[in-house]
Amino acid sequence: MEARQRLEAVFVENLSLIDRIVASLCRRHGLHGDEADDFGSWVKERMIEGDYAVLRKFRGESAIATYLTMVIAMMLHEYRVRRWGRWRPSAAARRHGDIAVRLEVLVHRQGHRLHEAIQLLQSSGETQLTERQLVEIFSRLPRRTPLRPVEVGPTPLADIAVNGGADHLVNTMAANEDRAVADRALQEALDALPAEDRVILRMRFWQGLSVAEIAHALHLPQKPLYRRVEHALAVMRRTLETAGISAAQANALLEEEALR
Amino acid sequence: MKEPPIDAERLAAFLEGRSGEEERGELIERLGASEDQLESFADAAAVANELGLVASRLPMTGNDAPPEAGNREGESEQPESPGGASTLTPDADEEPPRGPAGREAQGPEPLIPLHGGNRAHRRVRWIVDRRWYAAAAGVAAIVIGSLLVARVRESGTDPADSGTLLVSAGVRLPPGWDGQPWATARGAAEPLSADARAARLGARLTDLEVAVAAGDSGAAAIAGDIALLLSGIDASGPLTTIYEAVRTRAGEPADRLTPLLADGRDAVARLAGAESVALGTWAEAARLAAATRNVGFFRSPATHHALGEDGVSERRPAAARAAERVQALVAGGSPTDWAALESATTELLRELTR
Repeated sequence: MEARQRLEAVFVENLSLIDRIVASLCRRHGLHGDEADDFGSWVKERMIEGDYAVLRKFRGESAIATYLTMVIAMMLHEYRVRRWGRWRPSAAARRHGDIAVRLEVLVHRQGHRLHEAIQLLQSSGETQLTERQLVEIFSRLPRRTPLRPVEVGPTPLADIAVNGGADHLVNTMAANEDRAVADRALQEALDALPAEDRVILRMRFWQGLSVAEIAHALHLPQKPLYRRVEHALAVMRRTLETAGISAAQANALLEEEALR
Repeated sequence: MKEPPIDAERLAAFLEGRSGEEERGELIERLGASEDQLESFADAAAVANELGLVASRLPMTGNDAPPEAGNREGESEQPESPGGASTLTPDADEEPPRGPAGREAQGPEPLIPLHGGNRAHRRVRWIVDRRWYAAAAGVAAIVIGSLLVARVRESGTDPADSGTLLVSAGVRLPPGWDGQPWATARGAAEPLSADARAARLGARLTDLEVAVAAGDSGAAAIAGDIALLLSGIDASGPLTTIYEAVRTRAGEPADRLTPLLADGRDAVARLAGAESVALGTWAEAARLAAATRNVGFFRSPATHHALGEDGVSERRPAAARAAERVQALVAGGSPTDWAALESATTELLRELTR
């Protein structure tokens, strides 16, 4: 009982920090309103579970604030996968800021049309940007398949050309083969990089962290990191060109890879 | 077979720069192999950065701004695009995101600019080097230390009194002081050993004593850390209550808290193991003394006792080797290479708390 009371006291003492961590993560992933509240409540329930098992596991090898940040970030991953599968904001959206992430969530995850999403953002006071500015932001984001199936009804289906014949089938097979070759080349190019370079590239282009943030997180000097990223990209480019993949094709593949 | 997820505290320690080389290498490999875990790590890094939770451990190297386009030294590759600069150059995302005003209308950006590009660079924020503050504190400490040498020599021989030595010399925790430099344990599922926990307690007791004496607001957090470390020891309930009381009263004048600290220190030593607590106390005090260039501390009988035959040398071989390095640097009683001494005492504390 005493141990539980002590851990409860630690939890209460850190509630404000927990709320700030949750809020920051929600902004990063475009969770707002009810979704953010729901996640925050879920985090607190998980923290209390098992008589504050999360806090009991803390060994003092890091500051408790950093430990809580890491734990809650992992909780968010679990929460997101349960609710929305593998969907996550694109790195491009993260680079363009919180509003870009919100636009992407509203349109691509929740299925709103763009003008509906814009109205939602403006009416909730999340942004003062004009419709034109928001459309411009959205135009910079990668195209994505909707998270949920879109109901089209029987009529449109009748218009879709299917079974284009043997030629179509052969062309499709050839395209799929090319695609498979390109996928393999891309994966080989990534795997050929040293582990740290791979981590740096993924944090930069998949997770949308700035070079400064990556330098800070990995405790690397910042200035040389720019050249290191360039060098890793140059190595990847050469590898892909050797495999017959153009830069444009590689970019398309990488976009899909990052959105998986 | 899929590997179990990386322990959250190992990643937190990595984020704080506490991981040793081998540990760091292993974590990088695992993060590179798991998109999910890298995503969580990246999220935590971004949040920690936004909330200012983790200080940079790198010394300031001057201008950390990205190299200017077209003005790079040692470039061996020719730029590929007619635009001039090759591949990636940092863009406006090095600053807080701006609105689209002022940007030209563009289509979706390529995820990775494998083709050439030419974008404006931004300067990044300078990170204040905490060594400047430590050096300034060190100058003051030398002046004060020299006046207090006689008083220091009158102190007891017990390494457990090390915190008191520093308090007497007016030492304060330098700004941004990292009071928990111990590396993460390999096989993080294994519990902390009793000796390691005791040494960590000793170290934090030193920090607490110094912080309370100086009226440092960080004392509350340190007291909380001690309470948490104690929670892993059976029958520590009443003792934990003392440090929770210190935590809530951290803003009170030092003379009101000092008796509480003295009682607490004695009780912690009895409960957790007097020798390991004393060594942790001394090692942390030695780190602070090195950081603040306190000569008197290294001439004290407590130092002599800690580094002597009955002190650290009885511990694990790695700790004994670290103690030898410290001993070599303080031979003669007047250390000259303070940076090396701070590094050596930090390494000693890590070995004692492993």
